[in-house]
Amino acid sequence: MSVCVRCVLDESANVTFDADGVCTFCHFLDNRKLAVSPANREAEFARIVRQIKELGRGRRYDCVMGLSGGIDSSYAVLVAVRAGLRPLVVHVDNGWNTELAVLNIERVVRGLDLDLVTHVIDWEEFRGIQLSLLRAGVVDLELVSDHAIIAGMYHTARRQRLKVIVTGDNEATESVLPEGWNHHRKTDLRNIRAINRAYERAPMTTFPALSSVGVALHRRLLGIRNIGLLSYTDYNKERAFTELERAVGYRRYAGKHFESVITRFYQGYILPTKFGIDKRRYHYSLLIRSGQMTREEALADLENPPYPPHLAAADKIYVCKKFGISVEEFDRMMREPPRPHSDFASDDALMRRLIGLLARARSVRARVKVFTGV
Amino acid sequence: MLSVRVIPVLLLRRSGLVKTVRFRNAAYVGDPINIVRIFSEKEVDELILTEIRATKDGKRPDFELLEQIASEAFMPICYGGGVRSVDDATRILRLGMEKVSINTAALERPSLVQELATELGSQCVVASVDVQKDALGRYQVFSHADRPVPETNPLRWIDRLIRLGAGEILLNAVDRDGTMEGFDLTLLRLVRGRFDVPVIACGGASDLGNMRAAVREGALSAVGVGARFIYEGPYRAVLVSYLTRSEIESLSAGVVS
Repeated sequence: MSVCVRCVLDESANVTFDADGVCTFCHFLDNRKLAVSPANREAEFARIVRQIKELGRGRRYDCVMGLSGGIDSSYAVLVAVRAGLRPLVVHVDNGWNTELAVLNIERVVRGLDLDLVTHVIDWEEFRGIQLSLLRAGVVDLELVSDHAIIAGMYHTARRQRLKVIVTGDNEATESVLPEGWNHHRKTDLRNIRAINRAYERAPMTTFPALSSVGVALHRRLLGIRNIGLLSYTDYNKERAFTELERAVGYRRYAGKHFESVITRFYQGYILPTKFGIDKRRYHYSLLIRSGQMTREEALADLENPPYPPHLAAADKIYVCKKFGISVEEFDRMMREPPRPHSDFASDDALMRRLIGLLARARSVRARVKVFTGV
Repeated sequence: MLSVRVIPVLLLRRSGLVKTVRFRNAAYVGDPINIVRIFSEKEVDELILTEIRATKDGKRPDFELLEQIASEAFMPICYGGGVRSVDDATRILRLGMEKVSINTAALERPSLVQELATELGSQCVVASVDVQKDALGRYQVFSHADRPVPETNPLRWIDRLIRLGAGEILLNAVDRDGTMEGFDLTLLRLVRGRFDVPVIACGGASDLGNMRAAVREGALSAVGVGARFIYEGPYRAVLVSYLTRSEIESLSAGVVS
């Protein structure tokens, strides 16, 4: 296995290397157009905060913010409140919360005196949909969680008549994943429905669903915008932990995504075992790029298992119990070959047509403008 | 002195957890296995789990689900709901629950309390009593399953249950259930010091001050808390919480025992 000389991605990330040994993902990130360049972060941050306040003037809240209890979303809420924003906090509960997650949500919400709304997904529904993804052998077991979180935030924004959704998304520690490491569009409701139909056929009546078209309508017709606030800051995880500890008594944690049993088990066990993917390679690569980790530290840590084997074993038993399957059955699924999401129906073709239509409409408008001078 | 036992009370409806208001309008709050696991990690003193449909549906307890729930819990659990015989109770204890509570079955056949106490020991028999005010403001024993009540006066009914061998009384103030408006202190003064088994007062728990008042007025050794440990804030957002050890210690402050 060759490893990139700049980051720690290897061939498992479907990258190739140039003559100097630099991977295509590094090149991709080098050429990525950042939403906010480091030079004008502060000015942009001030501008965006001013806009959000403007839109929320005279109302009880000025934005919706998702909160999982993890570090990114928790810190985003702290940053927002310190900037004078008045968020309504939304938590989507998929039945996999750890005690750490609920404790940190409690500390953030009470510590900053915020109002919380939760969307508890009916566990029987969620169990069936997620178990279908597991049975299908597709790579993105968390598609269903990410979908519900996005849907939950848009639904809440619509119901509360709020124009802005603020998230903990940030360009420093996340970007698009390497090719084939997840499903590229989390709003692909059609893909979720198709996979569920092929396996468990769980009802999807209370599940927070919002198709790609639905999101587009929320954005265009209702003017709801989505802002990754931490992209406008010099985001550093270590500092974020320290500030949250001081501000609200936040409980620090070591692993990635220890706010959810399924997320840590998926990233620490299922992805490496069945798909040969160690997501730490990607997380560390971005930390190296943003100067929060050295490449040597990353390589040294990659020698350790993704998460402690005793915890993996305990989590496996718990995950099987929650899904209502035997450990033998689960192990059998781990041995079956992966299947691409594209084996199932998806909204890709529809989205391509829509994007094409919008582009055409824009060019027509532009031509009309040239022609009439309007 | 011993600190007060602070016991989360969870309502199970078939396979999901719910929370009621005044025993009505059950709202879904999540998956029992995960929520019990979170309470377990919060190191709660004990847990009370009550199934609210089994009796109405004429069903037995869902032993398979109870076994899964028990396997996630490191604290004692008291289960109630659809327990109608010594057999049922024995199975529940074998699954890893520590206590069994009965309500409707005791109204129908008070001698069941005696059978359970004889067979299993009083320490694991909890008698659950629902109390509601009537139009004249008198406390009455209430049957949520619409059964005839052998004794309408709650104090006399509790006396009888204790004589039959109940080791603990779970006293539910129906009018306060799920309201978070505070315990019914008048009711707690009525039971204060009257019985020689522990009374777990339940219904209405709001803030620490109110819990403290309840412990003081009722000279209680245990309180049951439902909504307050499941809901957060004005929108009743679902978020499991508990008290810190020092908060629990503070509940018995000022109580002369």
